Amino acid sequence: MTKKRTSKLILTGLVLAGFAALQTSTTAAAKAKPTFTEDVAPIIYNNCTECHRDGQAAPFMLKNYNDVKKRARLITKVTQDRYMPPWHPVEGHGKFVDERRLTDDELATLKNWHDSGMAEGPADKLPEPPKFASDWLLGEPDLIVKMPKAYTMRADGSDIYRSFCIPMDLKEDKWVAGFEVRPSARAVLHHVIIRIDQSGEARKADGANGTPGFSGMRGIGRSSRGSRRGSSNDVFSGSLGGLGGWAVGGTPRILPLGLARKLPAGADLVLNSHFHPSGKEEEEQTTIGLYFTDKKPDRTLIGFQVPPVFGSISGLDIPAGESNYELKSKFTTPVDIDLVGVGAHMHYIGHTAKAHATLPDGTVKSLFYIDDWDFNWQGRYTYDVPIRLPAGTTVEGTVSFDNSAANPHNQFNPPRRIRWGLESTDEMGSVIFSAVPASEMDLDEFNAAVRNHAVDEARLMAERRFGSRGGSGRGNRGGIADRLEQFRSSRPGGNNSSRLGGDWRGRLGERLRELDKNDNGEIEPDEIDESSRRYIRFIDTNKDGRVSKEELSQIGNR
Amino acid sequence: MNSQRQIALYAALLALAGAWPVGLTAPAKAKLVFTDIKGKNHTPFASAKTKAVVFVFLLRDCPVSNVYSPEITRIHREYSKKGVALYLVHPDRDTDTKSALAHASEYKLTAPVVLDHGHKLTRRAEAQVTPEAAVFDAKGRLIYRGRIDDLYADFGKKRARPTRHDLRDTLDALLAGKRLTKRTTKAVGCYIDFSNDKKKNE
Repeated sequence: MTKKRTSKLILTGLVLAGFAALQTSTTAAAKAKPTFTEDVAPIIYNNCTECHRDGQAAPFMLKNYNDVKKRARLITKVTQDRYMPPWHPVEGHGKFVDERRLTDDELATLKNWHDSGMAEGPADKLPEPPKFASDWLLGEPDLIVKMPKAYTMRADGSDIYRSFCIPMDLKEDKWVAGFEVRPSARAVLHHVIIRIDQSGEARKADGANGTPGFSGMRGIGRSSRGSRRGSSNDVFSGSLGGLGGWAVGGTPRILPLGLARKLPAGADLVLNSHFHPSGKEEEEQTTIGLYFTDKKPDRTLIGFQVPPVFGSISGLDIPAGESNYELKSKFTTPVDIDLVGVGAHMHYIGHTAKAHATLPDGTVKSLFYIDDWDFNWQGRYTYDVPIRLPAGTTVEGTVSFDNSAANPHNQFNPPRRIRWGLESTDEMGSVIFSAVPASEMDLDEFNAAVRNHAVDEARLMAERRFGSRGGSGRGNRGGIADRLEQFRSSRPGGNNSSRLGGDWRGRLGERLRELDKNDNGEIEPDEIDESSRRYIRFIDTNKDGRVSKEELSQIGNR
Repeated sequence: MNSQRQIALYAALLALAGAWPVGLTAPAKAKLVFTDIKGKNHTPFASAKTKAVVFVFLLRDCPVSNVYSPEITRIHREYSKKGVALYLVHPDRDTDTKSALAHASEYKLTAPVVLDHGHKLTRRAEAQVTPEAAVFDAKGRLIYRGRIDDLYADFGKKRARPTRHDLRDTLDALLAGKRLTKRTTKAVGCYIDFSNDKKKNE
């Protein structure tokens, strides 16, 4: 009896050993029986402890053998899933600073350690536990600012996206080279995008309903039409929308190449903050440390997006149930540029974001890939070395959406048709690059190309739309007003001006006609109202503040 | 003679039945006594009014577990009126009475909180994860073990709102007098650490 059992055990042991050997042979460097001090601690210390320690955002501590042993099964699961450490760009599609991606060997080491019984190993092999600066990570900031009032995040329910204005009252323009975000309630503040508001609207909107902040995620309040002065910084421009973003686990960094972002005198900071409930009420009063450079940088950072303008002019219209809806766009740079950073923006049902460059010599270079988009992680990634793209390079960006019921991030059950819009349950989609022209002399040309990209996209979409209507299309050389009139008369005019849906061209036609009060086929400066200024910018190609017949017909003629 | 033998047989059977360990026929019934962190004793299956006993397994520093605190409290409030005895169980050895009390007041937990360092309740409920719920009927039979609802599809995959309310649905069915067979679901959360348990206690 005992003998039999023993032999059975031995057999099982052999089988298991064989299995383990088989497994580890695929990842040659990972030991079958790793120990904490020799193998596991270095992985944990280098990748986990920075957040999993006292006073940081991550939930529990991973500082010693007991902490890690207790969580070994969880650690194995979340690392195998690549849920942790949180790092979303796929390997091989751009190389970034502060990458937190475990190698296959490291994953295997963690798994083998758990499976083999979590041995501690020789005490003298334990590496020195990491030390972290308790103070500002980039040194004492030049300016420390704070939300004027704390916001109370409720214990329960859905996530909250809310914006907060930090009045700045700067007397002169400042150049921001870096910043650090310090939440007061680290368990609930998930990410922050820092925008700049020059219109004063955010200051007015903040607290207007009695609670600190205002709803929504824009740089300026919903009621604001102040895109005139704030134009280069609002969500409708191709810019990065201010100073940049921070998400849980993010490391503050000084911009490369001596770059800095302009914080104009009189402008306010707007924090677009994402909170998730933790199970108890928490108070958040975010502090921001700003680092300035003394002088205006030699090179200017320009943002461009593929598709442009967050996909707003690309006809985004996702049928209910569609699991792979793609939006593609190309941008060709007329001058040599250096790509500094990249990120993506989509809402809940965003699924993938990808971009590659085709150089003039035909070389294809992958720039960015997120294969499983998570709305919670609106990361911006800085290339470890800026990527030079010679003039004539085409950058193609593709974003895809999963509007099926199988997508747990889908806010609607059953799924609904989803179009472009500012609400988080609407969609947006683009891959967002920050770049500098290789030579500052080319700045205007690069800027113009970015602007024209949006105009071209709008033309392309209009063309596609009109072209598919009753076989007219390219042959029809009528002015846009005629065409838009045709288009308008064929459909009922919905007027929902708070949302720019996928069918905005229909509304544009309507709006252009409304704007042209004296009915002369041109739109004079006094006919342009605040709310139409944002798209008039794209039509007014010579930037004289009026839309001539030529400019209107150019749109029709492409 | 024949009848005598019969009587003897019945007597033997009766004796056997009496000696039969309670745990095997009615697993959790009668025997189960525990003390909560406030020092109060509980014998959940002793009361005739109890229609169901629920254990919800928690971990103080597990964010998913904490996110469920308000929902657990709502369920406790609503169902305790209907004869459901709900207990919160800490299987974590590093959670002592003091830290459990602090946690309960921080997250405004209303149900009695029990420490289960020996994992007696945890194993009886077959729990593996926090948060995870186990439902026993009045006879002490485990009829459900798994997630509270499907708010989390997986790690980092949180829905806007749950589409299935497994714990509530189980209790509703049970209270409606439906005959239930044991059902399990996969709970998303932090794994319970069994690595320090003595193996012979299995």
